[in-house]
Amino acid sequence: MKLLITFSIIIFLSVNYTSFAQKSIEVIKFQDLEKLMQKGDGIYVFNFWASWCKPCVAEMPIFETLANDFRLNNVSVIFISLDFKRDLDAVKRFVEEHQIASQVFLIDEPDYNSWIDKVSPQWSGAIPATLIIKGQQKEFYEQSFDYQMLSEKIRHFF
Amino acid sequence: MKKQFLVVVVMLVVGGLFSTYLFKKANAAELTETPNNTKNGTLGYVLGDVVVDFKLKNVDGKIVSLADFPSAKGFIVVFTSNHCPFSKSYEDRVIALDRKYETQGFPVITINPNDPEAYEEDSFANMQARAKEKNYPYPYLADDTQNVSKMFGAMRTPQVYVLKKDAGKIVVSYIGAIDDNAQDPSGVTKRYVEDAVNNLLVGKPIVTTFTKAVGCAIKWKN
Repeated sequence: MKLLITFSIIIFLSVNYTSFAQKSIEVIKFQDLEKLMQKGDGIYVFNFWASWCKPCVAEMPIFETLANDFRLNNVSVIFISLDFKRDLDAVKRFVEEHQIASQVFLIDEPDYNSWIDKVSPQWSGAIPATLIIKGQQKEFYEQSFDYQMLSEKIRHFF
Repeated sequence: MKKQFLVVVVMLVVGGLFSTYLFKKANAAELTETPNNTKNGTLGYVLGDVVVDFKLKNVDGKIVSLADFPSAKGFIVVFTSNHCPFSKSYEDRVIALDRKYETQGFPVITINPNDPEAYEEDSFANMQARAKEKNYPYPYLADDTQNVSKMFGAMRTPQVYVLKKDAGKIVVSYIGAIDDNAQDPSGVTKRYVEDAVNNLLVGKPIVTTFTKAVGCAIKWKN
């Protein structure tokens, strides 16, 4: 019985993860992003966005749902904000208001030309942009996604 | 007692699953944004390409083409927009570029490539308002059909194409960012566009001919 209750509470907490999430946003440099990109233990979906970017904001719930649906497949979503560092408070407010459960970082590396190609040579620099990584396997997309399109891309990595 | 526990447990599980379902449903309903038909970087002009002249409407209502500048040695073409924070951040620097180089034969020409349906701020009326407010010394053209932006291969705002006239042809000589710090003009260490134009003015090859920068994706019409 106790086991059942514990198990049920875990399920309840995990499916309602978004409402329990407490966010702080770390400001990172490119070398930190590189480290995140080199994590070898699962499928990582990096979404490059900004709080003022309409198509980015529109697709964020899709990434959140996907992270939730594919958690058991070891899929993690990481949002990399390209908001200016001086707008960090606005980003924090945004993340709170939208109850973003996935990890959010703000990259403070204004010399974009020095690192865009290292994320992907296919990236022109426009956002939204999405990079999916599993070990050495990488796919990059400079486009907006709907749920079906994005989940199909993720399945390339299964 | 045991029974009560069981009821609570079942409620928790069902409630949890139901809220996930609602969350997903809400997301599905929000999904009105169609995918951008963005193109990969290989389409559009590359360095050395000859530019085809265009005709676009300026904020003053007049039609502008490159042929209207017979004495120009080249052009600083900037794809930009009202709504994009990166464009806003660069606005004063674009004005400064024109003030510095227009008299030396490299006038700035700005083009708004965005679909105003997607961004009200980028409507023709708002372009006119902004141009007036900031007293733009250069043309600010609306690319209604987006054909010119596609021809150039512009991907984002702001994005610069430095063009030079060479034996009657207009040739793409630099593509990319204005400088290396969108956020803070005082933090700039590399002035890509200025360096490119300076070299063209003295007949030297451009050192950095292509750069990338984060910018706002151009919203293409469906």
